[in-house]
Amino acid sequence: MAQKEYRYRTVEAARLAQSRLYPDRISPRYYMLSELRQRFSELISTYHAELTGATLIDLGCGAMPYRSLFAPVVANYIGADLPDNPEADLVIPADGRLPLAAASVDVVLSSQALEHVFDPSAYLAEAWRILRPGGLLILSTHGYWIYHPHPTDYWRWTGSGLQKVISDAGFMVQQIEGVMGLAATALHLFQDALHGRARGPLRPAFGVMMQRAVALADTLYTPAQRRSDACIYVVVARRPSDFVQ
Amino acid sequence: MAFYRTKTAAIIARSRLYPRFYDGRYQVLVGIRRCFEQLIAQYHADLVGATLVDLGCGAMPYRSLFAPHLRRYLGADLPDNAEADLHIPPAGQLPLADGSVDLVLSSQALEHVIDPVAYLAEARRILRPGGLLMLSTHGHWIYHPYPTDYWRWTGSGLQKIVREAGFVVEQIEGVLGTTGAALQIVQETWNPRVPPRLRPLFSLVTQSLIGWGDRLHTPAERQADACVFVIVGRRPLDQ
Repeated sequence: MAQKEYRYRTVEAARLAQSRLYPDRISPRYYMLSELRQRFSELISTYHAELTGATLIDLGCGAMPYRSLFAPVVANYIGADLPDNPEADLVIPADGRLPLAAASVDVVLSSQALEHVFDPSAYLAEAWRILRPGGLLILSTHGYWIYHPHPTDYWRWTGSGLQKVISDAGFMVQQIEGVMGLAATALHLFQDALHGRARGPLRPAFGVMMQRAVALADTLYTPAQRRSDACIYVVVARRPSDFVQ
Repeated sequence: MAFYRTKTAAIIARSRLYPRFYDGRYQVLVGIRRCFEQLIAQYHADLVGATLVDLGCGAMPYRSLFAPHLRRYLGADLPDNAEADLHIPPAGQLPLADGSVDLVLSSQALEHVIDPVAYLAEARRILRPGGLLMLSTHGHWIYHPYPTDYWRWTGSGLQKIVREAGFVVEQIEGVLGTTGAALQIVQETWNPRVPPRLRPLFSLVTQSLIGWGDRLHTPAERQADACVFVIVGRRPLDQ
């Protein structure tokens, strides 16, 4: 089967998406981005039946790096983002309320967005509103990450804190995975603190060396440990089906 | 120490306030203490004769810094803390009248509370108009449930919730910038894997590195990204 093309409106977005989905070996995000891609691929196989033919909203879509993983399975992949993102199919208005009817979509994808939003509870409430009962939220965000305003950067969570805000928004958390345990996270943060200060060819060399160390260190923590303390969490939650009494 | 009901609390308070040079958290604890010492000097006029509530007080490690300047130092905590002068009921509403205290201190508590917005609203309620909130909490820190551990912030996120709770943010300081924070987590990762006898030596090495690494960051960088943030907010005079 021929690889389907996903059209980008700008060359920058296409490049950015590609570099996040399949990072360069010399990227200082190589390990993290590869792991994140793998987690999403696994989730796509786990929830394949539900994703098939679904309408998916990527809420805070950026360059939609994971579109080429999800789009072949779902029927509609709709990117929603702030007005300054030319890639977005839907613009998120200032009040955060999407021009979508309640219970009109099957899946909400949210990747590295929640840490930037003004009000995570309101964001999750909006995801809940547009999801049909029984619909899925697939969300990734940061436990530990260097400050990266795009244009804002407010929040970090422990695994239990992230589960709490999602449950409090009315979802049932189905699973949570941590990407990079504490040892790998610490080295990654160290790399990010110093990477910009390394000069010339030292910079990629430092990055590659640190990425090796990060990969090695990641074998030290178990999946259970990563669920409470990790660089990134990937959560799957469900809007409960309505009960008929 | 005359301040404490139990010996354990006295020991914990002492080791947090004046950690030994081979303590695995030496740099961060010294950094927090220095921040509070500096704030006490800077806000001395606000402290003199004031009533302070330490909200989520634990072992009250900073009591001996604040208490000499105050009229009263009240520790408030969950019912399982024997040191607390006031117990925080499950609904979170303290048995204190509106506007009845001059200063709320909150040290390494906010990351554990079920609802930070409600906690800050309660701090504002009990503070008199013009009263001060001095709060420290985590940017980057390992998961440490006492009994829960939910939240971390960037500097701007912490300022945002404090402001939204009705405070005017007067200042924010970061203790240990990104490099120091990262190395502290490296230390937390490896410490349990080091033989107990070698841990003081291991800590001495890592803490020295942390002290060195922290020099790479400017105060402005630390205000955005740090291991611990210390923030001062004021309840505005009645509008």
